[in-house]
Amino acid sequence: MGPVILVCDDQSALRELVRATLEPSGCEIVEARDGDESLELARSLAPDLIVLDVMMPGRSGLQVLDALRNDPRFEQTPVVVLSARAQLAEREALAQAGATRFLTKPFSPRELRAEIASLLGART
Amino acid sequence: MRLVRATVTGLRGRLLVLVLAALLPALGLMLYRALEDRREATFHAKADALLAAESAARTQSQYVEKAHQLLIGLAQLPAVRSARPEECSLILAGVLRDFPVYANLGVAAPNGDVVCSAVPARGPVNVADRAYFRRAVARRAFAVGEYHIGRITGRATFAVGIPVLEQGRVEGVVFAALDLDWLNRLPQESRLLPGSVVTVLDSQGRVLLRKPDAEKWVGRTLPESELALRVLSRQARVATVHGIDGVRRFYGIVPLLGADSGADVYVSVGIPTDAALAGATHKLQRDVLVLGLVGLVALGIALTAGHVFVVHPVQLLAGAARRIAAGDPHVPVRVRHAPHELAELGRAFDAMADALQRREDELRRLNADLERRIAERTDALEAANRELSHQASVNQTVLDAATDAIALTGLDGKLLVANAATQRLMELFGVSPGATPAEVVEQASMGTTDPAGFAAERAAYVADPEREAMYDYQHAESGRWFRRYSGPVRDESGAVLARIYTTRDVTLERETDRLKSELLSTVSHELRTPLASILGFSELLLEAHGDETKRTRYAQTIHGQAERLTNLINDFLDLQRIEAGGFELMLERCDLSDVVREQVEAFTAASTRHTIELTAPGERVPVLAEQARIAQVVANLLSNAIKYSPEGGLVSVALDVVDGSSRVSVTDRGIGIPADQRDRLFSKFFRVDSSDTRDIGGTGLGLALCLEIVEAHGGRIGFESTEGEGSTFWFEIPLAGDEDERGARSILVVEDDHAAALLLVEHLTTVGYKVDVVASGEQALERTLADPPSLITLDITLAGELDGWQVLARLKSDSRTAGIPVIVCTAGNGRREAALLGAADFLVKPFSARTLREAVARLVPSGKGVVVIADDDEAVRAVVRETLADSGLDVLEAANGAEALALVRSRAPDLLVLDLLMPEVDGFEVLERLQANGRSARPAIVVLTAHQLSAAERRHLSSRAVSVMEKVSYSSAKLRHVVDQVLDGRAQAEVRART
Repeated sequence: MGPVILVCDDQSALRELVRATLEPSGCEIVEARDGDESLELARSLAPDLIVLDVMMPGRSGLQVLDALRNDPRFEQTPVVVLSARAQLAEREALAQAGATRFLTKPFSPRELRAEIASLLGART
Repeated sequence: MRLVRATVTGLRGRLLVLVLAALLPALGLMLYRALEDRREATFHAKADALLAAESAARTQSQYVEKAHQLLIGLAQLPAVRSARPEECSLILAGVLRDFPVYANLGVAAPNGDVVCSAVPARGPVNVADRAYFRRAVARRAFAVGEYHIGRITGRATFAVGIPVLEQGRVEGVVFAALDLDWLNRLPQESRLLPGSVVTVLDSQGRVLLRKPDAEKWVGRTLPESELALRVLSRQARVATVHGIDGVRRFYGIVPLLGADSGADVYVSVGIPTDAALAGATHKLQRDVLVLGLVGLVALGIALTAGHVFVVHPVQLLAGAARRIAAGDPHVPVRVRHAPHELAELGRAFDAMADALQRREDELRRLNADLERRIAERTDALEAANRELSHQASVNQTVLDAATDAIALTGLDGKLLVANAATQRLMELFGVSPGATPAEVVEQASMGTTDPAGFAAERAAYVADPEREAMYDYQHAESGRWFRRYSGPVRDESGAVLARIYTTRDVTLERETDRLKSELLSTVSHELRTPLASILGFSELLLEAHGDETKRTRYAQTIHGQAERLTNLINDFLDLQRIEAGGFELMLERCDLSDVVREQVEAFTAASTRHTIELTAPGERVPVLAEQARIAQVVANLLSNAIKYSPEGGLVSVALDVVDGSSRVSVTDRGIGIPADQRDRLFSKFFRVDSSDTRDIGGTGLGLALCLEIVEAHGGRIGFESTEGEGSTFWFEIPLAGDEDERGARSILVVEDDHAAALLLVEHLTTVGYKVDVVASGEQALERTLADPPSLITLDITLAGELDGWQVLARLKSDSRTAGIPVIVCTAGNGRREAALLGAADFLVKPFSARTLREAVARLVPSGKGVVVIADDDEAVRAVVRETLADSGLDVLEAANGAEALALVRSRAPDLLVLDLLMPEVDGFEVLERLQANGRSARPAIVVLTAHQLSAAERRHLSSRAVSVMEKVSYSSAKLRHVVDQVLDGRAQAEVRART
């Protein structure tokens, strides 16, 4: 069993992109379509890493991140935040809330792979 | 006191002082003489006293010498020597009778016992203690005794004695007592002044004798008396002292006996000073009296002469000066009987008064001139002030009209100028009226969300008057944002005079800014998400060699996301264009049912899982719309209906006409919209979010775009939804309709005269206008706003406060009513004013119905058509007018051919109802002239004539007119039919021409 990665994005194409990028390297991908589902799945599966979109219907990425970091189980879980370049102000809030890395959309699958590998490598 | 001072300081007083001063030497001389007299009198009195005293001493010495001689003789007498008492006494008594100067004569035994005495003693008397006795015994010679009171006689006496020697032995002492009565007579004898006294004192200060002695001083020792002291001190022979009785006297003092007598006894004679000086005093008194009288006379003369010669002229001058001071004209002062200096003064005074008078006249003239100029300047100033205050009120009005709060404060923070917006702002922040600058800041700051920051900013202004800054603050209660500019206000030299604050409500700007940045963020994210998929999958595609399934899937995703991205960009750009206002609809008349039908067909073909059902009315649903846009809306709604009913099923589309609007609704049996998300449904980038909608694509811009498009068409959009059962989305846009459905042309008649109003109503309703009447300007304005008429006829004289001009001005200044044409109908003048104020026409009462109708028809054309009735017979015109009244056509009338031609030129009528026989230019000529015109400008012509037409005429006319009717066979139905035909034909021709 490879590391479990939770992907949170309201766009299925993007979730699929993450899956297609990471699954070949042995990761197990779990998809969440909005903030609430993200938290639910995170709590039930305790993923090794979370890829989180900033802008989602319902709970936003920031709210999800806040909730995660306030849960002792997820204090150390790496969270890669996907955001657009124009969302710099939000990035600051996210960094404060405890985002581990930022990836700017559009990103290259290689980039994502490298980030994930380094984060998981550092963790183990 | 003042009187005294006035007397002394006045001219009279001075004169009196001068006179008195002149008397002073005389007075001095007189006093000197009096002093001399007194000194002389004193001298004489002292001399008299001394002489009297010396005379007394001398007399005394003589008496003593005489007594010595007598005693020597007596001592030789045997009776005396033997001391036979009776015999001796007898002899002595005889002697005593001969010498009354003695008070007594006697013989004393050696032991002092008196053995015989001229004056019989009443008992044994011893004189052993007497001075004369002791000295006589001791010296065995004549001895003088002392003044004493005789023991036998009881009188004041002076005794002397001589021893009776028997063989050197003292056998006895013969003595004599000298009577001192002579001293009593001394003053008279010496002619001394009355009150003079003679006093004999011994060395102990005892008064031995005093003549006269009313006070019985004799025998008393008074060593402390002034006289006694002076006598005893032996310092002077004369003295001026108080006697023992207290009376001041001149005294002459002399030792009574020689130094050899061995007795220190003095006699003093005192003359009273008063008596001595009485003569001198009396003389002085008399002199003073005389001098006083002389002085009085001199004063009287001085006063009279002084008044006449000095005081009166001076008073004259003073009076004249006072009159001049009071402003009376000057009368020359005639100074008479005055010394030439005063006369000179009078002349100089007159000259001065004349000069003053001249100068005053000059001054008065200048003053009058000055006053005139001041009055002129005051008038100018007042005018300027009025102008200024008018300007100020204009300024205040301008300030108050500004929506920004503008305030000016002094450097102390005190409010100098504030416009209405400032007052409102202060009210909003709860600043109490009349608060001090500090209170204003405090109260206002409490109303903000950041009191400390607000106060600090204000403090910074106080600290630095040059400070220029923008400051944003938020009202805590309402959440409104204000942006305040504050900067210094300087005078020409650049010095800071005050501080200006302009404050603007920037709530909207800030909200817009916030929305903008939010939008930017959202758009960025929304665009980048599909882009990320596209780039990511294309990269994966490049990596995935061999796995065709995978590659196909990736390529499909890329394609789908690229499409999505395209739609997104399109929608977004559309939306932006609409919002930016640069979006202009290309409105055209179209049938909405066609548009809807096309879209339904397209979607039916695209979805196999859904059944799309259309209900639409059989007839056309005409709307003014840009077809493509409305199609976009319908497509969007259909697309959503399909997307949000993922299970497939029925989608119903209905097209209805409701209340003059067309309504399209699209109903699905899908998942519905959660209640909490309904208000945001039309926001940009909003997508319904629930677990069922995760994979439904969409840009989130569709409904926002629909909203904008529908609203741009003057319609509205909405939905009803039940979660889990489905939703109905609908939109409405107004029907294009026919013009005649837009309501009859209404005219508001503003007229206070009832009869005139009725006439107007009559004129206008008969040709199909809807007419309302109001009598006052206020009502007119109210009615116009509530239900805008097509036209207003306006009288100038009105009931109520406003007159017609004011009503006109208000109508034209309000953008809501400015477009309504106004015909001013008045019996007065004012065509120019009416035109200036924006009236469309000006009719002078009385005017004909025709004039009125023409004016109205010109201003509010029905759009249906214009008909000109040309007939010289008013009755015929009325009939035709009646016939066409309900047609909605603009009916114009001409009384002859010329008028008809003019109307044809100016109004380009669709139809001309033409009589043939008219004065001046007849119908035939009109026809000819029109024939000469181009075809396009020519109206259709209906000939209506009373003339019996020949067949040839009829043919001729038929080629030029659409219809020829004879008046005898006139039928309103036929005319209406002809008119309808003509107009319909024209309309169709127009349509053909356009297409």
